[in-house]
Amino acid sequence: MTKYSESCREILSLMKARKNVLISGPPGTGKTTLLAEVAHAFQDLPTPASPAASRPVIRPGSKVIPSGMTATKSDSAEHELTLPAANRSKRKVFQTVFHQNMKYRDFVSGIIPSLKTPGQFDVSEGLLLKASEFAKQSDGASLLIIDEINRGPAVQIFGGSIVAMEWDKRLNPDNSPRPTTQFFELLHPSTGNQEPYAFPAHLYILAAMNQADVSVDALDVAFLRRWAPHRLVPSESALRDHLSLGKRSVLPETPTSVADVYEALVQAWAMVNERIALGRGPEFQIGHGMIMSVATPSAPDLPTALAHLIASWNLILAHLEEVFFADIRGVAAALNASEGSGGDGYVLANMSFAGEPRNILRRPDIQKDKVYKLLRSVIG
Amino acid sequence: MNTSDKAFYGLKRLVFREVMPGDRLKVVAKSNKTKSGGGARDLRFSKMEKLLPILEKLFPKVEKRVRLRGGVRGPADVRVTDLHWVDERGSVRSEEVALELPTDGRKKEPRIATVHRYESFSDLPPETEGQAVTILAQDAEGRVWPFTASEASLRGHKSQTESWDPDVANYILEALKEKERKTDAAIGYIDYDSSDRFHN
Repeated sequence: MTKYSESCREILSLMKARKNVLISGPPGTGKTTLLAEVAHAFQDLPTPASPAASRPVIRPGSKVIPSGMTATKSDSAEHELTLPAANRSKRKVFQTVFHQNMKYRDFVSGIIPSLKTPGQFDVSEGLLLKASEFAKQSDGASLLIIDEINRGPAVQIFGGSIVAMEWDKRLNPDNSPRPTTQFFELLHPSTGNQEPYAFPAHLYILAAMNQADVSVDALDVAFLRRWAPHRLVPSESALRDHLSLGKRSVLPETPTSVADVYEALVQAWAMVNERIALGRGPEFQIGHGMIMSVATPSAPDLPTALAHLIASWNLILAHLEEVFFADIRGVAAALNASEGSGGDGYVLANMSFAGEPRNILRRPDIQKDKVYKLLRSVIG
Repeated sequence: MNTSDKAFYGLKRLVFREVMPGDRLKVVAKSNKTKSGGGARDLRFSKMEKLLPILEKLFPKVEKRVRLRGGVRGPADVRVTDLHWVDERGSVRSEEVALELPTDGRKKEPRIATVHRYESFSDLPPETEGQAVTILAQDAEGRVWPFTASEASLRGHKSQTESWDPDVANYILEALKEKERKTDAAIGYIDYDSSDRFHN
């Protein structure tokens, strides 16, 4: 059985308790990776320990590495505790990505033209309904994953079903109604009639969104309160682990090791993020995953690390200019640019165009022999 | 973080080193040569070519520290990890411990310097229980936990309240018995991830 991350285990626990979980966070904080991990974990039923795979365990507080306990058993037991519907073996993951053209009929049900019989109409069975029907089987459990949930008109797409999705509005595990079960009207694909419909106990919905996406509908409070939130933030420690760096250290004047170069990268990234949070809001920050997406050399020497630094810094710059689009002073502030003339870093200069004052940002060439000093000036 | 009796974690790997009489003095900050309490209080790991790859997994992070190298003080790489233990109130505590990489003077011996400063190494078994080892064990979460064990506890002597895992105990006892030279500390590792093990 695979070992799952702390975030994955937390989401499994949240789903077990609240059925619906919404992951949010800036780009590059690992939302989509986490969705994939949870999808894998959901289908990974605990299995009995195999003697060949067993190993001793550490029990915090014990003075010994104790006899008579094996790790495989421990991992399985832990996973079983957090896994939703762990006693159900028929498990399926349904996945979709919301977009601007998505409709209620695509996700729940509705009338659509029949492709088999021209001129006729069919009733569609959307992914939410498919996942719900799968989970209504006697040994069934479904996980519906929705990426980019706020890239479509989510409130319209869910329609009346939002009243029935909450954990305490579901059916019993045997599909019998509870006093609190909430029904909504559904055009049922098998009958073509409007029928009351409720969601089963073992339908789990996991969605992800980036709040900084401005091209989409805002989610209203009534919709959001039906989800257990799980927020991801840029993680300096994740980036440090990725680059095999220890705790923060003072940067020397000139880099003498690969660790110095990566330390400059991490500190510059963290400082730019701090300024973005101040200038535009934390949802616009740069996730650690964006830096980790730049291929890290396996055994870098100083020149290779500097080349890696340049590639990573260019990525940060591109994001920064998008975040502060048409706001040259914002970009300058995030880069700790000096006004007037200046040293190793960025410079915000005052110019005149057609008799009007203009600001321009002077950008030093990003070369291997200069990039370290440039980043030191950004850190300030 | 609090822990409970039910929490346990798979063992990824462990490194062990025999505690020699001189090491006991280092832990309590007493020199074995002078009354002043001076002398190097380092826990050294010989057999570097065998041990260093495992130690690097236990001490995964590289940090710069000011060190004397080749007669010059300057930044040098050390590897660090957090050692974890549970205090009397049941809370998990940790302290950072540094592994010094081989130096000009000790070209083949990574070492944990100034061991007397670390709480993790303070709890040695009494000499009456026979040979003793200190163990650094890494769990499935990557955390490193220190242990000490005496020959008696490894053999499961009736005075012991808890018994050691037989695979771990038997391998360390074998190392204590079969070490190459009596004056050398028995040293070795078991890596359950790679199914590899070694002792001198």
